This record gives sequence, C-alpha cells and structure tokens, in this order.
Amino acid sequence: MHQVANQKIIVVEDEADILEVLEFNLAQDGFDVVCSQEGEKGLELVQQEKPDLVLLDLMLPDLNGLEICRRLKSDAATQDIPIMMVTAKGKESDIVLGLGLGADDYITKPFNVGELIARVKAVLRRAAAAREGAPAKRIVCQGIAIDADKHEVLVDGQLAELTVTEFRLLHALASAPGRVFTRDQLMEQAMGDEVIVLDRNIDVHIGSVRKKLGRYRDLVETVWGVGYRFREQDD
Amino acid sequence: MDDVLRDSAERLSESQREFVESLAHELKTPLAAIIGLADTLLRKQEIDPSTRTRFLEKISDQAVRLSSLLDDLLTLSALESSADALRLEALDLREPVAAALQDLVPVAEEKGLALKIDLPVEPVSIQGDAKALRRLVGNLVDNAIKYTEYGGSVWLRVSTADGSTAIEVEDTGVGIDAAHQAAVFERFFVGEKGRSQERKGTGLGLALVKQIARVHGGDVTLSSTPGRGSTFRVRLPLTASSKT
Repeated sequence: MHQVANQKIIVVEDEADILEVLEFNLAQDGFDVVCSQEGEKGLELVQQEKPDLVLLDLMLPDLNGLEICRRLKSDAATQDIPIMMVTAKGKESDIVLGLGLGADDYITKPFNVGELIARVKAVLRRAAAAREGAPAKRIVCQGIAIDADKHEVLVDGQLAELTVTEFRLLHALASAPGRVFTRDQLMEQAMGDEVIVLDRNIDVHIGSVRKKLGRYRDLVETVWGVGYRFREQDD
Repeated sequence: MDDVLRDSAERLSESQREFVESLAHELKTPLAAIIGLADTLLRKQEIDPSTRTRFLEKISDQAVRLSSLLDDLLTLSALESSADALRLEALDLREPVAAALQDLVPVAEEKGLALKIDLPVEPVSIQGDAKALRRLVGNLVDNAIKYTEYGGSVWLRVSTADGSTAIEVEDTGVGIDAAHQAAVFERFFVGEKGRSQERKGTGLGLALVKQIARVHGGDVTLSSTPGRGSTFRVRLPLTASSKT
C-alpha cells in the first residue's frame, strides 16, 4: 500500500511531545522511525544506521543541529542522506545557513502534520530521482516545456527567449520542484565558465524569468528571506 | 547628545527585539506540540483510545505550560513597570515559606532528593506580599529540585541578622558557569543552550525572583560551582520591631 515501506527516518528532536507527534505520524505512514532527544546520540545513530532521511531540530541541548548537518554533509559516508531541518526559530539566517551546508529542506514550528509528511515524501522523491542520475533532459510542467539539449523553453508552444543565465536558473529550479534554493546555490547553478553573476542579480534574473513565463510566472515562488523554489505539482 | 540618545534608543530597540524573539520561541515550542498533537488526532480518526487520551493529556499539559508562561510574563511586566504592583503588609515570612514548601516537598521526594529545611523558631516580621514571597521561594526551590539529580540535597534556610533576613536555597545540582551567573536573572536566559527547554521552565522564574526581591527593598545573589551546586541568597529588610 505504501511506497515508503521499509524506508527509515531518524528524528532528532529534544522536545518529547513534538518527538512523539513526529514518530507517531511517520510510523502511521509506514516509515521505520528511530528517535533521539540528543544531538550527539542522533549523529551517531545516523552514522550507524544510514537512514533514508533525517528530521533534525536545530536547537538541541548538547550539539547544535547546524553542526550535525555540517558533519553529516562533509562525510562521504553520510553526505547523500537527505536532511530536513525542523526548527522553532523563524530566523531566515539559520535556514539559509543550513541549506548552504547541504540540508535539503526545512519546516518551521508550529507545523501542520499533513504538510510535514508531504514535505518528507517530496524530499525522499527528490533524493530517489537524484540517485537515478542527471536531471531530466526534458521537463514539462503545465504549459511549460524545458529542453536541456536544445537549451530552449516553450511556453504554451511558443519559444520563450531566455538568456543563458535565465535558462540555467529555470532548469535548476524546475529539476527539483519543491526544493528551496538559496541565492548562493542559484548563483552556483547559474555560473557557467563564461558567466559571472552577482548575488543581488539573482533577483533580477528571476524577475526576468517570471516575465518570460507569462501566465505561469507563479510557478517560480519566492521563499521570503531564504531564496526561491519551483512550485511542486500535486500528485 | 543626539548620539547618546540615538545609541540608547538603539540599545533599547535591540533588547526589545531580542526579547520578542525569545518570547516567540518560548511560545512556539508548546504551540507546536499542541498543534501537532491536535492535528494528529484530527488526521487519524481510527486512533486507539489510550493514545487518544494520552495525546489529549499532553495537549492539556502544554496549554497549562503556555498559560503559566503568560502569567509569569504579566506578573513580571507589572513588577517592572509599577512600584504598586505588590501589596506589602506586616507578615511572618515563615508563613509564605511554609506554603511554598507544601507544594514542593512531594516533588523532591518523588525525585529522591533530601529537602532540608531550617526556619527560625521566632516569627520573622517583614513588610511583604505573601503571594509574591510564596512565589519567590517556590521558584528558587523548584529550580533547585529541577537542576539536582537523584540522590542530591536541597537546603532551605531562613535566618536573621543586622536588620535583615536571608532566604538561602542551596543545592548539590549541576551548578552554573561563572560566565552565566549574572545572566540567569535575565528574562529567557539561554546562555546554556536548551537549559530552560530541557527542564520545562518558562525562562522567567529567576527574573521574577529578582523583581519580587527588589520591590521588597531587597536583592538576590548567586554563588555557584559547576558540577558542585548553587546557592541563591535573597536578602529582605526586617520591620523595625523584629530587628536583632
């Protein structure tokens, strides 16, 4: 019944009640859940068990969640394990820092359980797609078709004239619907050998991409204080 | 002059910003639990009755935690902004102390701690607000119990000397780093990460102790050795007739 059967999630969260909410709901959705209320122990569990995903609170009593994220993402044995940050802080700087360290997504407390589960599944889907190989050569979403080989974008069948930078930004975003990219990450994606993009210009380029997407402009969403993402389509 | 005013205004707004951020964090944590638990109950109609009951109890506990936080916050705000926040009248300090202990003796017993009490035989006459003093003693002893592990000891001593009375609460608990000792009386002190959340405090208890002591014309001091324990000492003025 569940596609998630046998997928293991490690939850690191110091608040007992929130931990129970996460554990209960993930288990009900068919995940194999392992929990830790401490950062050090959580880190060890991830290193030993190599789960399919880590749900990581950022504010832990012993070892900071951002430090755990840094250690997992800098170790070849654990760097491919997706990390979803769960934090009470609405501080965008922490979120940007975490995404910069390689975290795959985040959710802020208080959160809606249904949304959390959907986001967990989306991160797992993206991780599975990434394991299967390079981004799709051709991405179709609503009336937009992005062709990586031809380097062209069709909007309702009409050719949209995107610059190289704009194309790279749109392709990166659309290759991972739902994933939030920070401006730094988008800059890396947009920089080819010959293109230099300044941080602040990302906003200008995104503005221009949206304009060229016409009535589909809202597919490129602003995540306030953090960056941008391509809207995920409903299943 | 303008620079001085501007600096002062910037400092104030910085501290207000920090306060609002800390408050938001303290509110979000129980709210996240309440929303998560309620969402779960709504989402899973077929949930078994014992889990349903446990989740409802947790929602109730977290709501009480939020309510205590707001009570503490309002009391603290009243104490900080008004000299008339408390009604001071002649009383025997031993009474609010005994009332506070009534609630806490069973808590210490349950945790396997020795709670040792040393009160003067004679009345200790002060001008005070009984409810606030009960809270002051309650917060100090409650903290001592929270931060002392099984098998440890907590002492409460009341003594009089030189026209003042001292309430001392000593424990053999985890202690507090020298670097954090002044800051523990600040609202939402988070110098030691997670200290407040881990032990389920509101982060306002010691700030309240400090303000209650101040409004009574007294003060509070702390001496502590990490790993060995802490002693909080509240000094309050005695009324003239009971001065020794």
